[in-house]
Amino acid sequence: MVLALCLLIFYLGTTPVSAAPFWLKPGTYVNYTVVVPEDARFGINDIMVKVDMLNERSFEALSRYLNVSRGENYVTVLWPMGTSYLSFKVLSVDNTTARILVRLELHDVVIESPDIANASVLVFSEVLTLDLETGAYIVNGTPVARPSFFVDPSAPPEPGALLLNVTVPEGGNWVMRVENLSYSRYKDFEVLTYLRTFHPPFIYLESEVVPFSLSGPNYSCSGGTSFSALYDSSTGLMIASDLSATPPEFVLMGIIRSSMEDVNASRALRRFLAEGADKRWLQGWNLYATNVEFPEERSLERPTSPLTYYFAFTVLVAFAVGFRDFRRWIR
Amino acid sequence: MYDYDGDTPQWAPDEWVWASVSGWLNICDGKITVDTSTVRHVAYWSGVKVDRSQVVKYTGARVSYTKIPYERYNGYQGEAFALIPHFYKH
Repeated sequence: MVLALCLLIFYLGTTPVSAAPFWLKPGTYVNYTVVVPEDARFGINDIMVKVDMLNERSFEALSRYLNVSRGENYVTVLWPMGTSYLSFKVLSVDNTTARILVRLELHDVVIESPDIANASVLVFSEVLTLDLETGAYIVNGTPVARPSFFVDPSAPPEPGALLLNVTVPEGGNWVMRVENLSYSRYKDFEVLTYLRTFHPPFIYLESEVVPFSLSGPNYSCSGGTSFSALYDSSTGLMIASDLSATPPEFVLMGIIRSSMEDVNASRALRRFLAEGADKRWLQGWNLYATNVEFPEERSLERPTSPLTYYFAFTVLVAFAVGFRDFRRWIR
Repeated sequence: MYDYDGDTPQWAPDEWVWASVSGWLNICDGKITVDTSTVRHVAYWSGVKVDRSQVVKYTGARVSYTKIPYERYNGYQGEAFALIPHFYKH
């Protein structure tokens, strides 16, 4: 009995320290969507693709529609007119790393080409290696980006932390840092997603803008790439992102900038704003499916600190002693 | 002759966004094309939050466009968007 108690106390005293969340196991998936109804206007959603940054799979998929050569210095724009899907899947986990499949599925995509073409489905995908100790994606041992779809809720990336550090061909080094981390944003609101309603506290992360100016023989473009999203404080999962947020994974995949508006969410948000409701939708990628389990709602929530167990234990011992003394006294 | 497209969402006299893109046309052999060296992007706004560095000005092989991501002070996000294609068919 004493041994068991000692073990329990020892166990509670040594909570493991790692940047990896408890749910990061092979088979874990987290899926987001941007819902676009048929009556949405043209051009709301676009992604800018730098052709010479695409991997072979993604290039093959795109070059069926677009007349470009592999490694060409060109930025093309794709206009997904339908609902889009972004999924993250943990393929494997070992002692130090995890393999994450990132998959972006676009529907009814308008593509510039000799004549404007239309792809019914276009898929971009990449398998990324996540270093579990630092929580960053690594390429040849070098950290290149942080995941967009979760943060460590006990140690989210602080202002100044790197979200992206990659070399863009003909574009120099792109460094994206966290600009602001807020625990008060949306603190008075319920946030709705397709999966469930989330309650505060939240973690809101906002990056700096990476300004860019790119050009080649057939194009020139300028703009900025940034990322901002809202996270669940219990699991650390991304709940939803903002409209013009570009997940760092996109840049690794060759998508240098995106604006993806969940038109369905925008319409619901407009209603909430008009009614003065204490509910919100974010207007970018919204969570719609995952096998990560969320803890029970607040009233039933387990104590968040192991210290609470110590207090409960102390109270129990005090009662036991009191009960023993009481029995002695009546005898 | 030139081609022009504009998008001007407006909510109040002093709350608006203006995105536009224009370019001169070449008419040659019955084909109408946009002279990409003359493409001009315009981005103005008033009473909304816009990060100037986020404004997209794109001139590609087939289309040119301007996109202004904005946020109204009530928290609603949106984009003003204007586009011209470079080729016209008869």
